[in-house]
Amino acid sequence: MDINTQFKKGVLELCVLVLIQKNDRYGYELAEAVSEHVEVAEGALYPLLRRLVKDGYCTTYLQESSEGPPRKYYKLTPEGALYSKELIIAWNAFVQNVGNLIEQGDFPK
Amino acid sequence: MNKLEFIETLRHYLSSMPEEERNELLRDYDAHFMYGLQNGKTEADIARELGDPLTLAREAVGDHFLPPPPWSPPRRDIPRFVGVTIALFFLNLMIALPVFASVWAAFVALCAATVGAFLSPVAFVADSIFESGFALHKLFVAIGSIGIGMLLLPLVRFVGKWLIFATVKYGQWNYKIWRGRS
Repeated sequence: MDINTQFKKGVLELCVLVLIQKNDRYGYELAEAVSEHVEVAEGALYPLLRRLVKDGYCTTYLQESSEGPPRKYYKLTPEGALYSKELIIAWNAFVQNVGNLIEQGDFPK
Repeated sequence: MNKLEFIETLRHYLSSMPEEERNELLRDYDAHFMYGLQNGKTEADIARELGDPLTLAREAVGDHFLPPPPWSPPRRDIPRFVGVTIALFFLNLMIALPVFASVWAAFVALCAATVGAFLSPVAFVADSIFESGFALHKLFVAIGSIGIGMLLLPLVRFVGKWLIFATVKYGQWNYKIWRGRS
């Protein structure tokens, strides 16, 4: 597995939480929204979402749709919102630190 | 990979998961396919975007709970075996055997010519004693023959090596095809 894939797997959770925070979304919509920005194996979303529900960061509800099967929407819980906030802070710090490291190092541009 | 293949492969890899949970997760993928199809994608496209079922299952259940891959014991495929045997038989009889026989025959002839060239002094001596007596021009011919023999020797070595290599390789290929891949 290449490094990039590992990176993406790590941030997928963050991406999903941020997306759900904005508004409730169903699986396919999330996959589309994520892959619009980051190229990932979309299938990894579903085990991730299942885990988020299990951990109490998300809840789900079904909504009938005029076309196709009922949509399973994911909604962020207060715990999820808190967790998401922590993750974003940790992510920003992480990116900042790695950025600093690269700046200081004498790397070919 | 189409939808059915994707779902069933995933179902296999998720066999350690409680059935209720597994079915729910598979329903998610099933729904994903439906939405994708509605958006004009093909099943193959969607499956590709979803990713490799084994990797996804690993994500869902962890490495330790993965069952071994769906594996079928190697069965002897009798019709294939008979067909291949017949095909190989005719291939060898009609093409390989004549080709190898003629090439090998040419090689043997080359060897014989080389040996003959080296033996020409013996012939010269024998000729001088028992037949027509000493003749200077025959001596020169005999010496020239040794020269030719020396020129032929590396050629014989080279051709011989390659011929043996090719024959062995062809034999191995035959055996591999005949046994089938296992």
